Amino acid sequence: MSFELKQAELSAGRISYHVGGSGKPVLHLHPAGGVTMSRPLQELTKTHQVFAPVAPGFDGTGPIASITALSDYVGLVAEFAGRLVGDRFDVIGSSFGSWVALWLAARHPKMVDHLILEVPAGFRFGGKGGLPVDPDERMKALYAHPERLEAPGKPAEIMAANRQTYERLIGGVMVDEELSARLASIEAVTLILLGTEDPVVPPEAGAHLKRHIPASQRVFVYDAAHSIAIDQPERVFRLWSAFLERGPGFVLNQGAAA
Amino acid sequence: MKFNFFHLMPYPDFEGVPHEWPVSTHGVDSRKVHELYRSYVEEMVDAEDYGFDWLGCNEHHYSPYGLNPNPNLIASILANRTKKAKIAIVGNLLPLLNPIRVAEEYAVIDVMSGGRLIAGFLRGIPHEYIAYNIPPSESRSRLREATELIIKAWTEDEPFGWEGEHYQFPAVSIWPKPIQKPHPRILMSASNEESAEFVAKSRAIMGVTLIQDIASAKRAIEHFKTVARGYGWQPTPDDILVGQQICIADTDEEAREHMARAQAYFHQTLMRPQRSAQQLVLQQSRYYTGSEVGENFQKRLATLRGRTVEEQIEAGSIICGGPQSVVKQIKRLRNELGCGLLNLTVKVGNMPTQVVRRGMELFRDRVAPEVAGL
Repeated sequence: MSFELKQAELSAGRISYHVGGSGKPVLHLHPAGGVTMSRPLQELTKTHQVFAPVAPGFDGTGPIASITALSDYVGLVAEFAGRLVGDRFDVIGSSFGSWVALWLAARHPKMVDHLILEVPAGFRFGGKGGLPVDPDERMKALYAHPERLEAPGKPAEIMAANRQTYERLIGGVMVDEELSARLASIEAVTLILLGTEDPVVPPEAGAHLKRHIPASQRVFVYDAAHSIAIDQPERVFRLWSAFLERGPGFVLNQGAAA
Repeated sequence: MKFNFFHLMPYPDFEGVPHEWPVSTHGVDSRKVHELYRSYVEEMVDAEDYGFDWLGCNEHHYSPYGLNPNPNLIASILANRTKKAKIAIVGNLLPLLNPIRVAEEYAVIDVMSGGRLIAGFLRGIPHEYIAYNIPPSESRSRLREATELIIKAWTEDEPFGWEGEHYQFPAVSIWPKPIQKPHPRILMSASNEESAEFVAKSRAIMGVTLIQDIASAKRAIEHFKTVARGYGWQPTPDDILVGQQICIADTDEEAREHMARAQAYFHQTLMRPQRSAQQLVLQQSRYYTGSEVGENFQKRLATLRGRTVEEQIEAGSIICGGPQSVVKQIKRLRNELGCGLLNLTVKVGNMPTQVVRRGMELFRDRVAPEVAGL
């Protein structure tokens, strides 16, 4: 099932979003590299209606003057979700998108039902992790299996703008202490996904989130770098779909009955 | 009557209240656990000289409830360091494990101990299935098939293959075979009607634990006996094992105080994190064929949790008191349930070592002489 690119008028300005599929709504929040229609995301449209907003300034979209910090963008996402997605929905965030998703779940605990945090950014304890500057190192950090990239890379100017917007929104924060203090207020059942070969998100980040989000579970995806949905699409989709369907019960092996 | 010194090997110093299973090991010092293993193993080794006929341990995963994910490791120490007591592994959780590996390890322990193994073949408690990613709905069929396969592996001298529902092994010939012939005694749980059938068919020792009251335990035992008769045999007291927590102190009052404190930790810390995981398995799988059996299991746990020590003694759920009272309570179990084997959890919760040790002395000096001949 394919995605359509649409636009929504919000109080701060116009925002672009991709939407596809039908079923229970899922809000997908993209990483710092912008939206990528990964195989798991496309698969998900067979059972869910997926809304994937594009943060203003990413992927060639224009910025919104009043959106200057992460908290502004979280407010915009909450308004977008409230208007288009529904009162209560599932959220999947990837890297930077997980950071946004965490804030959304912390500020609006009743909105988020299931929360999936892929390689969550925002917790670089001791300055560990982050994307390398060197292009080759960066490629290695992002992909354990670059040969599995299906779409051609985005143009350099788009990637540069994405990077610039990301840096502006996060404002140099290594560890989001304010968010950390609010993790215990998250009510959503939460699944944290980490890549075993990911040098961008240090394992401490996943452990910290697991320890402080009350109803959370953590899974390491084997042989995956930072872009786990590209490196291991089948594994990631299996986890998404089991967790979205069964919540914390996804840990139960259903055997032949599955 | 025979007595199993059963050690759950709990972690006694958990800080705070664990809210989920699996339980985080954050803040747990493995050097402290090193000391715990030394202390627990010494208690078990010494128990042989304190009038206990069996030394027992079992398998649990991912929590402070029991530090024994593979009881065969502890059993191999006991096999080497003790002389006459039976080594009762109660047991390996067969559906979670490779049955050939169980057959091999059990055989090694039987041989190392000179033929003293009691081989527990247990299904486990519901949430343990998550630990090894085994479908809980297959627990019973896996237990049945694994049991038959292990017995075959113990008793067939010539190599064979196995083509089953859950297990396929093209070539099997375990070395060594057990000393006990045709094979070591098997012990299984028969706390409900569903399991009693298979235990009786296997002519195994039936174990009943978490006794809500004497009457319900009696019903379970009578049911087992009836089913066994249907399979052409008559269970004797040596075929019936009843599990109890025990505290023996110099006076009744002292024992009750120790037990109350230890059970508070047992229920609020050791048992607590498992509740939601158990609920999950019971709700989302066919661990129990009948839903009422699952409800009964949960109800039994809740009932036991809600009772005072005095109420538990009265109900026959635990053994607790000074030596004279303990003798009376054991005689009552023997008379009313016809059991010849008692599985005694001597270290309850975080009960201090000196309390456990004093209980062992009192058992040796004042309890065992009165009840061993029952």
